[in-house]
Amino acid sequence: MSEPRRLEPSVWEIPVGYVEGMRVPGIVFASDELFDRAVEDRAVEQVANVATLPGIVGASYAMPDIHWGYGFPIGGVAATDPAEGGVVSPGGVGFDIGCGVRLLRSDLDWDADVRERIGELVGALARRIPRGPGGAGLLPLDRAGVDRVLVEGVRLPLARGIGVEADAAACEDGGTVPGADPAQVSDRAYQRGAPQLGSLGGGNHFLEVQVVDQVRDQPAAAAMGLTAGQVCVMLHTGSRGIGHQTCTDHLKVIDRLSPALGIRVPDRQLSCVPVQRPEAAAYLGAMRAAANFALANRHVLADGVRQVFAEVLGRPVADLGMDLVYDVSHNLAKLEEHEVEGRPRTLCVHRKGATRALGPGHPDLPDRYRDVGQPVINPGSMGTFSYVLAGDRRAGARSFASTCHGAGRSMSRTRARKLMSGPDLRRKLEAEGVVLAASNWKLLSEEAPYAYKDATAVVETCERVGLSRVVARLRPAGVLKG
Amino acid sequence: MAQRPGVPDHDHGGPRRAGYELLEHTADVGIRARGPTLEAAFEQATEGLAEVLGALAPPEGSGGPPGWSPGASGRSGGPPGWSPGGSGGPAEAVVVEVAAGDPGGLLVDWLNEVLWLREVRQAVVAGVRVERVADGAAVGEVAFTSGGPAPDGTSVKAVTYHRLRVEPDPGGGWLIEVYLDV
Repeated sequence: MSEPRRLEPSVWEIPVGYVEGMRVPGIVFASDELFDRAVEDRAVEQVANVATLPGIVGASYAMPDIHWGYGFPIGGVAATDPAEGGVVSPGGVGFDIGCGVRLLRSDLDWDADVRERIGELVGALARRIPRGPGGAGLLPLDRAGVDRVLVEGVRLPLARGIGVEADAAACEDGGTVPGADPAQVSDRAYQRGAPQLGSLGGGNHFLEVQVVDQVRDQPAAAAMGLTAGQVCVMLHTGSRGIGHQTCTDHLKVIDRLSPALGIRVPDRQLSCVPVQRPEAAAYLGAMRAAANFALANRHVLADGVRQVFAEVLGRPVADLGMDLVYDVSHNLAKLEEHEVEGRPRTLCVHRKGATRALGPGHPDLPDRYRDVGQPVINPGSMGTFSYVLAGDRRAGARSFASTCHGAGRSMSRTRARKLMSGPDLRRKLEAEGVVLAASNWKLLSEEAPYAYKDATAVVETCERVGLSRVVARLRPAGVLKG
Repeated sequence: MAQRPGVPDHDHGGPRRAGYELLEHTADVGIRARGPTLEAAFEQATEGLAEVLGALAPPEGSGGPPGWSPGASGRSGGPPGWSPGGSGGPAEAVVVEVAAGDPGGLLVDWLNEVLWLREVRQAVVAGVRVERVADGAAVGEVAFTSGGPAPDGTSVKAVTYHRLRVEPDPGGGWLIEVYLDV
């Protein structure tokens, strides 16, 4: 069997032959330590498995926050060429379609405006923001309303006076993923997820009040409206039950069809069909619809956050300066133009726990970020730093313009829970100055900081290899767990 | 390549007995279930899912399979003796039937159906009886209770095909391994 080799510092090649059927090599961006962990964790094997997908172009990539997923590794990026039999794999997007992160800045200063009120703020957010499994969201809609969300994304809540126009411009795709087909979203998916618009969900989803702790790239930070000492709010959630069920439904069809088409994959979760088949069009239409639900979900939640801040601080929303810095999705497949071997090609780029990272000058960027590159929002884990990054122009050629999505887990949930109880972790974090509200204290330590890789090592690796650069570091002050 | 088998979280029985254990995974969670028949193994996998969802923890110190399922020991015909796990109203049995071309597809569809029913009913899985897994179909009943306190388990997004195993157990009976996205 061929062994991985280091091509250059923090860039590893998994050669063809590492697992049977690889069509291209794997490329893992990781420091020695992060790479060793990825090998132990089976994630490198998963990078190689993805390299067997029909029509895959270049390499099967993995970002430094790579860890063992279910089929694709988390942190995986794979591009296929539809014109050459390239496939789409629902497992390469995952069940939480359109899951992502959004960051609100503010005109609030931590010391002057918020420090004394943080307990009150977290308490009020905990009462207002629906979280945990199931349940109704802030904006339950009827079927016609949900249909509009699936097509229009943030446009429906905007039309109802929720949020402001500038919010849409600060989202990928302007807040509306084009090409959505709600007819491909099943009744079962509606029943499961439609009531949940405007809810966080559980697992690793969260809402944090953060403080800008360090600015490392002044021009980019200025473009994003970030300054040291300022209060921000980061939220991480996705498409809730409607997305989970949409993936389940379409994966079932594709799981049955894939072998009939003669496609052999080393893990059944990688089942796939050529992008040009009708089943792929159905999946992609449904996936885009679910991605629009995810965008609208974060939009509605962000509006709820603004209202709570206004009520607790006794100031109108318009005075708080809580503008959207950016909203990224880290579970999505997109048809994108990329130059490969000197010619432009339209590729189906899967990002599973990886973030698009357009470099400065890219035409798809909003004007305000044209010179600095796309903001990339990288959550840490409770009690650790989060980062705001900006896309590096070199990422276009290195990783189909992709970078990391967060710290990445390094420990199973059961082990994390055994190391420390939820209440003990709460006491520890509160001693460190982080105010916490969880929906389930028993499960809190599953998401403990020690269960994750070092986010600093992850973002610095991305910077070293030219995927993204660090703009600012944020520390947590108040945490609302799903 | 290093193969690291999942580490048992806790073991409910030997290979010939019905039981399940949870398997560690970096981000998600797996279930290894066994039963003397395919139906019994399906029941055990469903109980594993129920435990992750927080429906019912296995009885403390029981050492054996959870006693609340009519599963392997209680298959005696007639209405199953549901004994609801959590508090809340009386259990309501729902007939579940799924179709797929292979046992793995049936298992994933079965568990996904249980997950969907539980979410739309905002209920807790209280019991399971699998009557038949054969000829491209799995048929049985799952009991749900609702109205009690919210379950204190993990949100499960879906049942995956990752490293899926539904096969005869070398020690006799059937072996299932399946991973959940949480």
